[in-house]
Amino acid sequence: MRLIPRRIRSRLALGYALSVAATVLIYAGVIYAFARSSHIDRLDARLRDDFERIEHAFEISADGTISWKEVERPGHRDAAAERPWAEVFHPSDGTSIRWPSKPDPEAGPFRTHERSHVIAGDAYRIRLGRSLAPMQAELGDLLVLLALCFVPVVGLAWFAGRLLARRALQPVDIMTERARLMGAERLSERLPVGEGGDELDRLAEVFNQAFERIETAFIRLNRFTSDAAHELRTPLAALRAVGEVGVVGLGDEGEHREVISSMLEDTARLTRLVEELLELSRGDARSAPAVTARVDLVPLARDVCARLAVLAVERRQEIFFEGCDHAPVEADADALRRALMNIVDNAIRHGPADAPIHVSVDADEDAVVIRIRDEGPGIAPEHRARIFDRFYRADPSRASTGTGLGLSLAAQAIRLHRGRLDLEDTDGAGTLFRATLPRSVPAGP
Amino acid sequence: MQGRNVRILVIEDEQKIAGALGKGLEEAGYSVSLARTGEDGFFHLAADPHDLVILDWMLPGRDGIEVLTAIRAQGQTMPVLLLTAKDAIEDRVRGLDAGADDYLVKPFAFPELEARVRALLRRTPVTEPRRFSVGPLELDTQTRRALRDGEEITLTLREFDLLRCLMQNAGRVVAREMLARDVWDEVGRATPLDNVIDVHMARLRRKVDPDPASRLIKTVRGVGFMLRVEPGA
Repeated sequence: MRLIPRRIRSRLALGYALSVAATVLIYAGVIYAFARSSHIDRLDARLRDDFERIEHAFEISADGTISWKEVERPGHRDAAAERPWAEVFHPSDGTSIRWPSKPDPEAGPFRTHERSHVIAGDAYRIRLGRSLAPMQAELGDLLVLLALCFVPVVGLAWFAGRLLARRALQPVDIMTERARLMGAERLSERLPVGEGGDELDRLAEVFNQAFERIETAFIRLNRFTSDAAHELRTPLAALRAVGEVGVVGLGDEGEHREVISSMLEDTARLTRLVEELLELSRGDARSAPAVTARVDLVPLARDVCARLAVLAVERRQEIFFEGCDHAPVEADADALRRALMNIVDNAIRHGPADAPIHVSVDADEDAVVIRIRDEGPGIAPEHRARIFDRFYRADPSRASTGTGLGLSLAAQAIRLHRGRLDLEDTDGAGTLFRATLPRSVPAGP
Repeated sequence: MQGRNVRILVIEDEQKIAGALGKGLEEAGYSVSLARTGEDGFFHLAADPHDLVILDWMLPGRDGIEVLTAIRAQGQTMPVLLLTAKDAIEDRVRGLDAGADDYLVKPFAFPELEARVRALLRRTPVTEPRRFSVGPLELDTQTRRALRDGEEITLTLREFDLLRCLMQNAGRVVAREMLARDVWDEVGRATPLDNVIDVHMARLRRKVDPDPASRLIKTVRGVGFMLRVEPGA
């Protein structure tokens, strides 16, 4: 058997009962001690009175023997059982006289006092005693009374504790039941939140927020998986169709070459897709860039612009680069260059033709901010939230060139550097991506 | 194509890849033997010295790293090119530490493999010639001048580097990955660089091959580009 019960309800009830028991015990102890000491005080006061009397109740004869005088002795008005006894010792030979000659054996233990009384230069030792039995009987009754109260009081506390605990924990039972129903298929289920706003309501609210995030992540994961399957299936379908037609075709060598080339193109597309997916999943598993070194982002960003300038020219765009003097950071230069290439490439492909693209690098003490802006109509509000989602395309009809992973990859690389990639609101003055990178990032596993 | 008979051992359990490698390398003029397991590979190596080993990392039984360690423990010093689908930096380091001379990630472009095999066989690095000439094209790497039929072509830096890469590999296909690495220094493939390469290549062509009748730079669709002078031209 366990000493401590498993259920919180029983533990609480036990706790209540134990603390009430302890309280009652302390009270009872105090009451008992007080009663006892006041009894003893009274007894001592009576014994002191008794001395006053006994000093006059004996006499010394000429030969030095002690004898009782025929006067009132102490306690003569008391009931027989409560009558005190007295003994007077002779100073020289140690003999004594007693009254009564024999103490009542029924009277039980005694409280005794001793005192010396000087008569004619001789000190006579006097002992007086009174029975403790009446006090003990009274204290015994008190003890029984206290014990009789103790049991029901503690029992009541235990019962009340159980009742209170049950009422307080009832929402937990409901939550348990509800949570049991949740699963991958029923992620939209939520815990009931009470009106009171107490601790359990807060707990339920926090849990609900967590479930909300899990559900969102789950939906995104599902969407990602089906998108990935779709993206992989498209070139696979082309590969298969071209291959199947090519293998039975009766074309000449040139046509065969054409078939093979087409299949190779699809293979290249698949390869790049797999490469990017791999890069994403590798980034997901990391919490920091693999390697870091000191990198100046101004020449790095300028180099990216120069690399991609030819793509901009194809669309009659011009890239305007504007950089501060230096923007050194601790970073994985290759990863950041690829991230920037993806963002700028995105701006070139989705920004309007014939319009400029602005890239700027600014640095302050804590961070480097890179802004990439086109002068197009901006991104519609309904697309903004999902623009960094994997495979998400604001315009599905222009799906041909990219894999739909570029911005996700860029955002991930920047996040690994403890930075942020945001889509800024420009009020219709084009699309503005802002990458903020802290000046130093520790390299991680 | 090769001055002497160069023997290459391919240790690869995936039959399709092994077959394609064997065929491709034989067409390139090498004599190739295939082994499907590490043990099989040892047998070949013991019977016959080879000039180069192409080794797959993921083999049944003893994996490529173990085979490589054993090969090196036997004192064999021929270059080893490791093939693998693992491309994390840690894996590269492990492979090279075990004694590999080069490292190629699957899936790879065959021209890339061929280029690396050539580089590995060229044990002593040759100093780059100052001048190249292929057919009517001439290139001076020091003055960075390019001539066609004696007439100067004005090229940008990138275009010049592209043309040099094509001329160095004249008659062979150059894959986009190789161009990205050699001209742009970009090893990652998750980039929009392929489009950049295509645009630069289109411009280079307009300058080098203004006359479509006598084109030197050819597109090998799905693979890359090739500079070749047609025998008849």
